[in-house]
Amino acid sequence: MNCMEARALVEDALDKTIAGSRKRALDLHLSRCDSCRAFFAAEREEHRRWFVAMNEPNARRVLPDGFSDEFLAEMARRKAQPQRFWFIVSKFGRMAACIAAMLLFTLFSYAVVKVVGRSGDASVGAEALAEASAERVGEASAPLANGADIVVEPEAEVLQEASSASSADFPQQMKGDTIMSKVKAAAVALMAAVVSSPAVTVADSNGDGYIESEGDAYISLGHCAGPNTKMEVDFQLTEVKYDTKPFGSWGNHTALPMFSLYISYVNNETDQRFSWDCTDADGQRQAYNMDSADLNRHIISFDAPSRTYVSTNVTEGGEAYIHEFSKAVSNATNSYPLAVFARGADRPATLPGHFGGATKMRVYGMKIYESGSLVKTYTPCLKGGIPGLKVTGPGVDTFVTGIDVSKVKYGGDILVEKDDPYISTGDYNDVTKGAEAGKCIYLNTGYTVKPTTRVELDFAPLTPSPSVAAYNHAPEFMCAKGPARSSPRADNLLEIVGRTSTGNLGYKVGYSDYHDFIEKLNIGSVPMTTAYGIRRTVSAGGHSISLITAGFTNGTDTISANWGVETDLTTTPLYLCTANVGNDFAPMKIYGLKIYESDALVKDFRPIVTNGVAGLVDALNPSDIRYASSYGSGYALTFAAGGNHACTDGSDEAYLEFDGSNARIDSGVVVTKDSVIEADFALANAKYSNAQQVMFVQNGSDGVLASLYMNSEFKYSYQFRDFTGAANGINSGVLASNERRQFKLDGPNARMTIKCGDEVLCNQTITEGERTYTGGSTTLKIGPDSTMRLYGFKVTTNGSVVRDFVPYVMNGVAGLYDVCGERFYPLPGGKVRGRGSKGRDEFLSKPKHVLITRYGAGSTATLRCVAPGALRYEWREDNVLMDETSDSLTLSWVQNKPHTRTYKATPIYEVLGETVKGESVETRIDFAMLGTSIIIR
Amino acid sequence: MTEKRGMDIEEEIKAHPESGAKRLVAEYGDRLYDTAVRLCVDESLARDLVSRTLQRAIERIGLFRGSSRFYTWLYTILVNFWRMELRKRKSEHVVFTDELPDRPDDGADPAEALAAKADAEEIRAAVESLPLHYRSVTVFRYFEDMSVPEIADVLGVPEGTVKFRLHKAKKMMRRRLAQTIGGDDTSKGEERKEQ
Repeated sequence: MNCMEARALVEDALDKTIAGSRKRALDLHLSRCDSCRAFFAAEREEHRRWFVAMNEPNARRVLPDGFSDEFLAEMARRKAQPQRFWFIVSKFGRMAACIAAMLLFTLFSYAVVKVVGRSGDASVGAEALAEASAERVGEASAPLANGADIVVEPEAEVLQEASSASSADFPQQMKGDTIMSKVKAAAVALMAAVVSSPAVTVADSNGDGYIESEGDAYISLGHCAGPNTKMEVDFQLTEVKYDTKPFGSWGNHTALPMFSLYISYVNNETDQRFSWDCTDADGQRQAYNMDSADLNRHIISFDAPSRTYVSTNVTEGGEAYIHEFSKAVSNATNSYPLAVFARGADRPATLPGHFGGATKMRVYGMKIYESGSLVKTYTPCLKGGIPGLKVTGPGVDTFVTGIDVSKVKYGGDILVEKDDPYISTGDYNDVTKGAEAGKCIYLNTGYTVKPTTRVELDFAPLTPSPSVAAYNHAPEFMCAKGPARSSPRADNLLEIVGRTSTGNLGYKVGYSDYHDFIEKLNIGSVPMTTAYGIRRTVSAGGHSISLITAGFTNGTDTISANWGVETDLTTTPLYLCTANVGNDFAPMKIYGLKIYESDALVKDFRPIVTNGVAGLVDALNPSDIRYASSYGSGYALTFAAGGNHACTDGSDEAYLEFDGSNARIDSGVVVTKDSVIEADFALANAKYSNAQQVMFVQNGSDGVLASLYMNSEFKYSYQFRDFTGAANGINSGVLASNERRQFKLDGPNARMTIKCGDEVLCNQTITEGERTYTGGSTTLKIGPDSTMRLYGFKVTTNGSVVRDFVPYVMNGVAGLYDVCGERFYPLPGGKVRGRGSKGRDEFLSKPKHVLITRYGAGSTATLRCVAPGALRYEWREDNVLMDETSDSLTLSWVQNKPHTRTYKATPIYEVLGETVKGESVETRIDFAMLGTSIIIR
Repeated sequence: MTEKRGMDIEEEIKAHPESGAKRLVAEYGDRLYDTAVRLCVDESLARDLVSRTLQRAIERIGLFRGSSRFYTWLYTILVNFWRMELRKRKSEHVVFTDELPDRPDDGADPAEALAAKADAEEIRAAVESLPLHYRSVTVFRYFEDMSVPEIADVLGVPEGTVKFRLHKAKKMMRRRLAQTIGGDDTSKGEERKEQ
């Protein structure tokens, strides 16, 4: 390699992209050539100086004041202008423009044909057609070429020209003096729909989100159509099948369809057509064969007030099929809600509205208008893992899904939303939530039902016990017992169960009327086999009960007049998640429970998670929080929590979760009579079975010296060995539960306390003899025989803190970090959840300012962060992500990269299964003059 | 709020367009603007480029697949807008400096002398004085800390072109700096003391 060849590689050398034989040749040349070595050194130095100059912090420009506000205002303004939608959803806009162009082409073609017909001169007509086509299509397509804004409207003069044409020149469905005004209205409406809403927007990619029915996936839209209704559906059949019904509804108990689109055929089954079925103003059924039913994507708009049907074949370029109905639709508002994924003649009569679903199709979006105003927009959405339609509109924000959610599929770039906050027992198959014989989770609301009480339970049933087929195992989602009954099952006063007395799965209410009469009512014919996972509301009280799904009332029944005759109807409060037998429970999610007295809301229970423990809180009385309980004794079961994080109380303190596999952390410390032990913990699904369940223990040579455990009465107890060598135990009298507790054994002051926050549950004096044990032969081990959440653990001996543990994760392994000794104690298999710790800074250790004063290979330094509960850390260098796995970041410097950089560390936590970022800290790394030592401080 | 805090910015723009737009401006606006000013040496145009870049990013957020860093994606959009500006201004005169004499090997250490005199402001002014094509590679190289292959990728030109432009840009820079702060116009050809 000569000098010229070597110097040609200077940029590669600065980039460090040179390698292999070229690098060896360059290194060899530089080792021999003083001039080139100087050249490279000068280049590096120049590079460094220019780099520093360009990146001087005080030379950086910032956006002018007001930019942000102006930008956001501009974005809002553009969003508010439909014609600017071209830019906002340009992905969709081109296809929208294509549709516009095609539509206009069609309209103007009609106009020209009319001219031809009037003049009788075919050549003139042809020229006119060509001119009109070129002009209109050219205008409409111009924006496609230059990307400018697009405003598409049929031009008035051409439409007027067309509207005066002889009806003989137009297809049958285009007849009538007002046909072009209808066409214009339909065209304008269609384009307005296309440009104003992504939900009904034609898209040019196959990435559009959709939900799909592979059959039997009926979805009620919760909206009843009437004479002023207009609906638009963006959909695509995946099977063309005679007499299936993509969407619509039936009429007012007359078995007449209304707003019903179904598949028919003309002459032979190869000519499949969309058909519109509706009831006219005279109460007569009217069915119209329309455009071809195919596997293309269509937007079909049915407008009752203007009697128009517009079908746009999106796949084939947006050609519109327009039809005007000769008769007005019925002026009655329908009793049955509109639905999608419906089917026809073979529908099961049990489905709501007699409009079941076997249609195989995809839905990309829907809109419903009333009297010209958009009232509901339906957008495909995956909410809480369940596909369905998000419903938005004035005062509307809800979600609907199929009657059999397992039949609803989804695809494309679908909107994803978290579920609403809920607490959950888990499925029956979740062994931690009650599948084991003898374990049963329930929630006591503490509220006694009265004859005047009305309850509204917002819930979703989950997979029940396999024994649910047996009638006496029917899950009871809500239950209050009646008086003087020996059995917990037969006399339930007000219950919602998952199985009817006839043996058919369904919902029922059962109650006793104090005359030992039990009445069971079906409240809708929803098969339980298809009901799992779907959110429903049961409203029961007074003399009526109803089941509501996504705004649709599945069924209503009347409770016997005997209800409420007596006033002392109940002997137990209202329970949730109960069962017909003691060893069972009702698997369910609870979204809320409202209790009314004489129509006044008195309890408004909502999901909440307080420091990791899920329960229900009364929004009217926030101090009333209800956690899970268990039947019998020996268990402390807990609910799971999910959905939006809004259900947390905001603390989310970090805890180390022991999985109950007997893994313990050896604290390495020996406690004595002069020690103070403080444990902040909560059991989770703890159980008492064959052995006492230990939360921590220190053994001596002849037995237990110090141990907190759950005794056979399912109460917290402290065991120790006194100075005589005898084993002693103090029963705190505090029942074990899944709620958080603070235990303190104060040796020097001879006192044991158990608290729940500020509430003292136990405060006992320990006698001198009792507390006088000697040092153990082993160290204190932390860890239970069952699941436990440990928020903190502290040992003080002779007034000095010897261990101060906080939950911590190091290199992906969970455990405890001793703040006192700055040492990590791993717990293999453990998990850390939550963030921060009460009373502590979010960061125990932060990266500090570092001064680097030398460059070159080997010049490194390590920054480290310690935040209780953090699963990992995100490290950024000048806001560029550098690492997101480790709690430390090692920096290195090379000679050609000298400047000041800022490093930011952000802890990443897990809260309710979601990753959450904590507050960040920053430090700055400086590069000083060459030739001095490295100083890291 | 915790939900938003945990979101990547692209997710937030999709889920909450308004707050996502605010966050986009807050986190990336200044940095893009700084780059834009250095590229076009026109604060008004830079502001316009940033506005168009952010707007386009919001519109096309669905196209960001996370295969590159988010800022790199934004940066590419900015550069594309700027290249469109370049095309509009293609009539701008580009000064070639091939006629500049090579620096004589006189035994001095002009680079050190130059570095000692040149302050950062003069260096930045020298960059801003460069013709468009040379200014862009210089900004990418010394401000964005990009390698030659990265610059070639962003500009859509061969690596050899980038190296050529860098070579020319450096020569122009040295000449400008030599004029403004009295140093020589190059720093090559002489042995330096080892560090």
